[in-house]
Amino acid sequence: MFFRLVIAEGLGAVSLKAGTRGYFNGCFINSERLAVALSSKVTGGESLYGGGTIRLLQHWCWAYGTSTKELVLWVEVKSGFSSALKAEQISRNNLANWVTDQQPLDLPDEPVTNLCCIEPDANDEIIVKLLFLFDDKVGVGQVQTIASEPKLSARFDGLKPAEALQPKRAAIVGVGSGGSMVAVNLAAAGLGSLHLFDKDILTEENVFRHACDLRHVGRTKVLGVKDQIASYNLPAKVITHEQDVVKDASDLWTVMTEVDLVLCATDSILSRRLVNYIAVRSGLPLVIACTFQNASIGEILHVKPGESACYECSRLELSKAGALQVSTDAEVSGSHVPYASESASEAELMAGNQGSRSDVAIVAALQSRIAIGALLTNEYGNSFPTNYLTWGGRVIASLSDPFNFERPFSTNWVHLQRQAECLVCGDIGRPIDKESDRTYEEIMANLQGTTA
Amino acid sequence: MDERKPKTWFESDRNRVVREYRLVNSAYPDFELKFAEGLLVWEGQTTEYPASVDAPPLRFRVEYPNGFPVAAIRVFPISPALPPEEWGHEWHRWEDGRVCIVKPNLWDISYTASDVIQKVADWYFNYLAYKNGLIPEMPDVGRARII
Repeated sequence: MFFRLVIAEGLGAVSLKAGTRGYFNGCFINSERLAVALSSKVTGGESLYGGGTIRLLQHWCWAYGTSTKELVLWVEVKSGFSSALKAEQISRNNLANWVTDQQPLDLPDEPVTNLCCIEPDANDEIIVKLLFLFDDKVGVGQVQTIASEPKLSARFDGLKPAEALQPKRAAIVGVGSGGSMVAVNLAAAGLGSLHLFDKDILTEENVFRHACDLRHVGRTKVLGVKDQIASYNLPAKVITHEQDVVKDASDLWTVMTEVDLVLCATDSILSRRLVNYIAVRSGLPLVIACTFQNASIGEILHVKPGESACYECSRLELSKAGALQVSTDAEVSGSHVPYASESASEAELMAGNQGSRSDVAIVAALQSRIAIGALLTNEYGNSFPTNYLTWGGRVIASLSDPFNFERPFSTNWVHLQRQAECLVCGDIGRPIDKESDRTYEEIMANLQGTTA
Repeated sequence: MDERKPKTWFESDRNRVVREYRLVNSAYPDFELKFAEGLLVWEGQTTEYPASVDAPPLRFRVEYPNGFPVAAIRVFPISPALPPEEWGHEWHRWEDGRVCIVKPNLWDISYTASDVIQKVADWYFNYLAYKNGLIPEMPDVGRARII
């Protein structure tokens, strides 16, 4: 049997300030609330107990054992305890002599019992030991500490561009299933700060494809993702915007002045078009992704305003090529790719065409990887051959290119051009019409002092 | 924060502002462009109503949301005060009193305030015609024919 106690760094010292004994009782906190994790029986034969700490209020601290009556008891022990333990001089019979408060241990009468011993040594260091007691024997479990501050660099082995990404800032609009994974991916890559936009509340039905789990149900997705990033011990600064950008885009406009890249992972055509417009008119690069046919097809477009196709251009070009049917209402199915996942037909669903969490994760990973490349221009493999990528989770031969796939998990790379008639970016880079510019200045000057 | 970057559509899209202004100014010269709570708005009135109806002109505000031109322009009647209970598809009004000029998902990025003002004129004509029993229901598109 294996015993392990995971505690926050410094917990031992804090515990001793509180007294000479106590229980790790499973408190944790997130940005909204303090919660208490209670012990519970998880199987018929064995029980799992959660022992926690409110010390740092950032980590769940769990002890795994088989005791059925109590959470993990900790006691202060006399100096020299760990040396005696190492010398195998500690037994169940003499254990009580090492406890500083000399009170009975009152351990549960179980075949195997856990006990956490905290020893202040002569150098003011705190030593934490996890014992497991069986029969009259004493075994030593593993104690693992979690740092009080994230140490992302400790896990980087020269493979990842964490240092280069640290000063970078991005905004993600839409943190549903795909966007939430992208947020975690970028934070894990070392991104310095992230603005998250989403108005939605996480529901039980969302959880199976989302980065957040049941603990976050009932909260806004942006707060859930923020805490999920923190729970991965990632140092990214996360700023949340519980907003529907379609109804109010003012914050998004402002955030565009503060970030280096925008990512769009929303599930509506209107919101994608809006994010595209604001990003392009702000001169910010954009990586936009969406899935079709229940995530069996994904597409990712990297927009460089004024240089390459924007989202509106991409719809125009794919429409001209016959790959998409675009209307102002919806892009509809037929021999063309249905525009949104919800437009997949029931027949397709019955044929086993459901997108799984892994399908969404693949598209999210591709979007994340392209975003990292976009943030690190000329670094870290920013050598994607084109600005537009489609991915197919299965063989598809009935649609138009680039939505046909000869093999599962294959990709199609296409370079989409800017379209002169594009109402979003068509005029960017054109010579300034001096008369229009003068008219604009006059209009704005006349507006000063006018209020409706 | 980069203060040089635009924070609104009307700072970022000068050509669009000029186009909007010229179109409205030429078709509806009495309309006035203003600021309202950080948004650009047109204010003016329509006097087009069925010949047999005696009604005041409808003064209204045409508001560019900060998601414009992707998000649809909004229309708020100012005067006369319209009964707040007259909303829903029957009256082509939103619950907050705005006039429904187009289904949000049918809005097109190419639509302008000038298009909207024409639609409001049609709406007021239809509203008065329906309210006065001249037509059985308000049409979704265009101006009702009164026989």
